[in-house]
Amino acid sequence: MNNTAMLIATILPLLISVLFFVTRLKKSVLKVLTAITVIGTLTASVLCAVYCDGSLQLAYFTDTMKLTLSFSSLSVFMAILMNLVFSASLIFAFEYTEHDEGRQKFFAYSLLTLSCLIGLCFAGNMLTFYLFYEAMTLASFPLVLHTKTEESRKAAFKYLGFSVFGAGLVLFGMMLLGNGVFRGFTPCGIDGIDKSNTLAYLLMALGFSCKAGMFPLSAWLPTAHPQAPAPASALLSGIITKAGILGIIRTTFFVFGANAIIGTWAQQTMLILAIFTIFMGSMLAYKEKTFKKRLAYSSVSQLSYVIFGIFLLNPEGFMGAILQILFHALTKAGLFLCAGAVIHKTGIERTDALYGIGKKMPVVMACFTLLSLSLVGIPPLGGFSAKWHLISGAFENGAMGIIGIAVLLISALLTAFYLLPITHDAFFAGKTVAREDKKEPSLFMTVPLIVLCVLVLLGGIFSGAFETLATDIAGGLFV
Amino acid sequence: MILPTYILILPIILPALFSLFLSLKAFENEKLRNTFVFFGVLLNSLVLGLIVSCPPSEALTLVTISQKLSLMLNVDGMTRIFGAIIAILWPLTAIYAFDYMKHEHNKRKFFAFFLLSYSATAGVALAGNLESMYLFFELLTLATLPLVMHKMDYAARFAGKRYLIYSMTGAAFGFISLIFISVYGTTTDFTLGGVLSGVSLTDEVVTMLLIAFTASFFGFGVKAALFPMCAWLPSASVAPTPVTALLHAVAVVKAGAFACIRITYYSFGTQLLHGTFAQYIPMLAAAITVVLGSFEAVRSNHLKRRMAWSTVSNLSYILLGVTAMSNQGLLAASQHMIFHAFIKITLFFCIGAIMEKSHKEYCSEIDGISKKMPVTMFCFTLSGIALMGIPPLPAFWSKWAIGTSHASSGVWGYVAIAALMISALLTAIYVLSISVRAYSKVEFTSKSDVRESIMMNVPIVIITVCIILLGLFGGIITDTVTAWLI
Repeated sequence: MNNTAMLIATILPLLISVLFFVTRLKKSVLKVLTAITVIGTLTASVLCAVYCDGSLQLAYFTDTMKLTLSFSSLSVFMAILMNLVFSASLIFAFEYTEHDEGRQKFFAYSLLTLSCLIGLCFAGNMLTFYLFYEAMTLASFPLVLHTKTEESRKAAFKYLGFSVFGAGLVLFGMMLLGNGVFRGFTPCGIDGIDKSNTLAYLLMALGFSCKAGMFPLSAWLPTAHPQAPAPASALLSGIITKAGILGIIRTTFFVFGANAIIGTWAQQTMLILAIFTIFMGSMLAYKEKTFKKRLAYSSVSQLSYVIFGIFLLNPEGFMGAILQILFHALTKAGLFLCAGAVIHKTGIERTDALYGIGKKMPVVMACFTLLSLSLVGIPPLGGFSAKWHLISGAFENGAMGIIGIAVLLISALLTAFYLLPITHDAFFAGKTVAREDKKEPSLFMTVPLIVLCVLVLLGGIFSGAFETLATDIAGGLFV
Repeated sequence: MILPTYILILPIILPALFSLFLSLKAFENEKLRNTFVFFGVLLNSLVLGLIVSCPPSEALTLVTISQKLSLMLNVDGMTRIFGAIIAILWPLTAIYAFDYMKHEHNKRKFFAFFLLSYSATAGVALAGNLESMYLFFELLTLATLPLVMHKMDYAARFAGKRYLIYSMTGAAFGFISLIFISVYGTTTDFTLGGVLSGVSLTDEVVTMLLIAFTASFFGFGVKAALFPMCAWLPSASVAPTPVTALLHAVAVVKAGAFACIRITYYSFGTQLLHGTFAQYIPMLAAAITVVLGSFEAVRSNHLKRRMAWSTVSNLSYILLGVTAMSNQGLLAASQHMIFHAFIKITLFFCIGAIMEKSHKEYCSEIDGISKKMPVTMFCFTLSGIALMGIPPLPAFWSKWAIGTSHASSGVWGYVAIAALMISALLTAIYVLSISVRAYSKVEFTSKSDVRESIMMNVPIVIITVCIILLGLFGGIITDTVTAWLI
């Protein structure tokens, strides 16, 4: 009975999105309904944390093939995080889509994506996970396509192509393992599958890493994310990429088990690719002049921090990965929303045209600065604690760990180089800025931003609480 | 309930009689004729359905030609699967065809051959031994030829000629297996596990048998558009859409795949073939076709040709399952046969509806058509997503089964699975690019008034619902297929 909370959290956004598809609602009704839905889903997810334990069977196909939702601290953590960012982004979108005729479609597809994501978090086995994973790709595909220009069409198909290919690799890996892979997730790996099949494992990990924008399957991310409207970019970059990360975690710890992977060439391969991507992403972000594209490249880099943390395969690295998931989601969503606010109000899309923007939009740019500092990793902000654990985890990993630490530090420096000049230009233009009207957006835009900033700040200060949480999540994974 | 044995002849005789009557008597009233045709099809489907649900226990021998050769009808698992598919889809196609053919000429001829090909297809399904299947296989080619050439313009006649040459050549190669099986086999009757298992064979004979098998696999594979003989299918899409949908996505091409299953599992037997070049060469050809078909589908701008190439690709999914040469592969292949039949017929119906109502033939011309034809486009997108293999829609189950059946066959198996994956990616592109265009904001412009018709929507919606149900009850389908076959 208690487990229905998981079902409610999954179904509620789905139902509302169907309602949005079939009816034509007034703008105000649309906003109210959206707000109620995201907050309702958030509440349901929080209730899951309190009431749920065990699992809930949705559909039965054969003995090994079932759709189940099951509760664990990892799933509820991810679900609440995703809900938080979704709430912030969609409330931000109220003003952003003010003059957009496709508003209703936008909210409909966003809520559909939310539903898939919540299902993904609570998925109790690989079949359920794969179902929601593919469904999420299809649901978020129209978000990239939203402006319906030729360019966005290309970007959307690039997104679709890479995603389907990634999912195909996952399926390939699963096929090599046979029906047994669909048994429920188990913290030390599923019994009865061939855990020494490293090829199958690598295929699955690489397939999921596509969504997380890891080299060599990263090319879609900087094209697709900036094409979507800013709130959707925030969702894509902050949250949807985390679905790939969750896939890697599920595969590594809940299908194969950490013991089966430690010391294999799959671990080394993934570490090398992650380290390379961290460097590559930061470099490309540094060279990029388009605002949203720079942030997208930054995501490529930051997401590989998580992958790096996971593949250290020790508790400390895993804690770093969990914290990085949390803070990168909050931070990157916030940064995209800032960029969105700037673009919405001024139409400026390039980073070298932002002189004096801080005078016109002080709140937005202050938030931007704070979030940037967190992304760079300045204490006491959240990003710092994540990076701290990543680095201390890397020390336990020998040579590859040391290389990783070096690259992390270089990347932190590059992060500062590509984000802080924006702040610098915004507040210290170096020339007199023409006195224009203030362009500060309305509360619908600023409040979500401020909330994200506060969360990053508080999360950093009270990172001890999150460390406990991460320890709880990691419980039983490393034996 | 035990049915008398002679009922087996009915599904072959009934449509032939109706067809004969239709060609002798000119109906003045179109409605009357349509009712007559529909009645014939429905009656036959009911009989076939009856046979499928409670098969007679004995085989029916029609003619004994020689000691070894005879015309014989029998019902086994494969018959029931194939029979069920055609029994469900034929009446729905008839409904669709009545509306689609409204403005065409020579309707009497069309429906006469439409009925006749039902008879031939049922014959292929019911054939109890290799020579009977061969007979009906040839008859099927002849019965469907006038349907392909229906328009009788240059392109249609060219396509017809090509179809005839390809099919006849293919059948000739298929004939090789008949010779070898009748010489070396204990019998030519279809037996699961093959008819060569109890026979002691020298190495030379085995090699010869393997070569014969490969030749006839490619021979029967022509109808299933197996590489390198796949080009006839896209060019045959000049036929009216009901024909393309039913015959070139379900009946004829599936008869090709069906024949391949028959010779692999019921005549030669997997014990002989497994692990030899006779497994790997067809497997490789099927893998190539899977990718090639999808790739060509992405490249073609013409709506129907795109779907035809997609059929080429998906038929080879079935053959890929067949070439796993294991019971698992047989199950996978027959599942994909069922699921693809339902999915592809919907896609063709939708495409046909668009082409008939808007007179647009190319993907690049249908921007914004979803406003005019919402039901059609919704069903199209849904079945397209099903074709991509997204769970819990049906094609996922069959693709999964095909993939896992290959997981243990080593490097060759990896090639097969990789082909499936690449094709899944291309499928997403060629299906969704149509949907994206249809749902784009552009105002759809057309000379005539574009509106959906109920007669076309009814079969489309019914089959789409079937697709969803097939997916949701995928487990039950798997169990049923397993129980029927093994």
